[in-house]
Amino acid sequence: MYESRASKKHKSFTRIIALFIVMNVILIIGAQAQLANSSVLRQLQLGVPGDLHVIFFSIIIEALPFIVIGVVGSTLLELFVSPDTIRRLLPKTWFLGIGVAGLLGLLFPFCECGLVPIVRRLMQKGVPAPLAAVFLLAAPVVNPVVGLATHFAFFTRPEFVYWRLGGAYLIAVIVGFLLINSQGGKNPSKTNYSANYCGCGFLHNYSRDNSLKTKLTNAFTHSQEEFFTIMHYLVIGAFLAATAQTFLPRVWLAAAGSHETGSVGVMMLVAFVLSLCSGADAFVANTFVSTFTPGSIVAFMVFGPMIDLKNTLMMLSSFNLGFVARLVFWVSILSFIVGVAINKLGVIGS
Amino acid sequence: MNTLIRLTALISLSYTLTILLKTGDITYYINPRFVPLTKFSLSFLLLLSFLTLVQFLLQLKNGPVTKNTARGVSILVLLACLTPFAFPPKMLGSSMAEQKGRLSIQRQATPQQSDLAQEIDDQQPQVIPDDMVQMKAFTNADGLITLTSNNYLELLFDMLDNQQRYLGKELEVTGFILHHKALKPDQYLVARYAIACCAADATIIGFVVEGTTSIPDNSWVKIRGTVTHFDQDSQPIVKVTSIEQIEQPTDPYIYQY
Repeated sequence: MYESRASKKHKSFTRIIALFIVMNVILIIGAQAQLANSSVLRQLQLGVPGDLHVIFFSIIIEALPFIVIGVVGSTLLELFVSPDTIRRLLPKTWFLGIGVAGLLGLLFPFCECGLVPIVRRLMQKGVPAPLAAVFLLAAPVVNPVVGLATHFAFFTRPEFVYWRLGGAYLIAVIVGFLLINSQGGKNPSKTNYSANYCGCGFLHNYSRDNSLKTKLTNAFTHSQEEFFTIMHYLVIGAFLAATAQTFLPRVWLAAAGSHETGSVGVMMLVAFVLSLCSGADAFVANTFVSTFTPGSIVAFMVFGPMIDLKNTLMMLSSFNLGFVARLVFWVSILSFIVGVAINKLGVIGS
Repeated sequence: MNTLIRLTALISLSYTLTILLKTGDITYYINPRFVPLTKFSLSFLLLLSFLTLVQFLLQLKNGPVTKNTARGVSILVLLACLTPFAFPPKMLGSSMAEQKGRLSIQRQATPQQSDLAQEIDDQQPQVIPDDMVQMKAFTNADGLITLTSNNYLELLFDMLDNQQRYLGKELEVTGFILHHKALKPDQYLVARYAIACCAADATIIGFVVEGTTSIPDNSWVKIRGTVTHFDQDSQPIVKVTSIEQIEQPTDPYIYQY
């Protein structure tokens, strides 16, 4: 008894020391970095690494509010919506359910960062995986905000807007139907999520204890867990995307630009690596219009918001590998088909 | 320990965001339109920091209940949150410009429409006083067109729509020098970055200048020149009459919508 108390005291002492050291190191590094006129660091800050950091951090700042909305939304779902309510709200047939799930983005214009935690929670509350997946895929594209942004970017060419939104809806719905067979009612979300990742000081005993205090404590620990798990995938994704943006020579891409099928593949790869927000990617797509085929531009804008580097990593934080792999596979194939079809049929004149 | 790492990460991220918002340097990263959203995330971060602090203090008092398993996750986030201390906010350099595409502004109307516009133009020029009014608005008493961060895109659009009206007009514009690979060797760009959401989607816009300059890439200049012609992509080509080096403006980017 005495022993353990002493060791506890000792532990808390080292903790405080550690806290102190960490804080100091940060302050020193920070002060040094801000004042640095010395050549090496200055070069780094102003040169390519500095650019890389601007892009990296801008992705994080831009995605942060949407992640917060996602985490808060997921926590609210956890606290206030029971699986029974969800079951009652669900449409009775697959056909209707999938059709409607693809249009939910019109009501909830989330971008992909915020959707992952919400969709995961919906699945745990009993929404069948195919429905949730359709929502996850369609909502970042089929929503008014993205429609408007695309409209601005392709001012005189509304075909791009129609094909983008229509194509994305079609792909999401088809993937939904394909998932009924392979996935069915199985829940792909990681159930051992909190147990695995929890390093917090609270016991996760979901007993009958429904007091407000327990509920709020659980809400907090879950928000924190979810925030950090999603954040660390965002950090990896943003870093890879920023690196690709900084070092991948754009000239290489131009070579494939006018090839009917090759350009579609290349643009999908670009969309995957760049990991842009769906509200902004239309403006980047615009910069490719003069060098790339119309089908590849549409594929870029359809595929990117559904599947990209940042968002695949975030999905892996919440869903099991098989499910994510299936989504990536089907969406890639279908986007490719849509892109190539647009080129072959020549529906959008260049 | 995990809680401590998380607490540090949250606090340093909140601190960075607060400073960025306070100094206005946040606009180096995102479109000012999204500042309210960043404030929202900041308030969430502060709340989470506070609760994590409480959690940390409780753990100090009671000792940890469960064993830490996912310290890597927290450390990674912490590292990301610390990077802004090493890299102060700055504008994207011209080294990035080659990587970024040049925004080709899609303002060419479909053929029928432009024919129609041409006809109206030929037969009854008085039909389009609106454009004249708009152009007047950008022009000062001497007929000099001054492009600022606020009217840049609007003016560029108007220029592409009404090319004839701008031929031979004198304009004043600021931007950074950029010898873009896609240009001829005796041409350079007086360029700006246009941003839709964040620096990740920056694209290059600007005026192509004919001639050579000894001013190195990435330095900011203010030029005066006349629009000599429009190239095959209907981008205006400018002949410089005067060029002076200036400090980087406080609002280096141009924000779309």
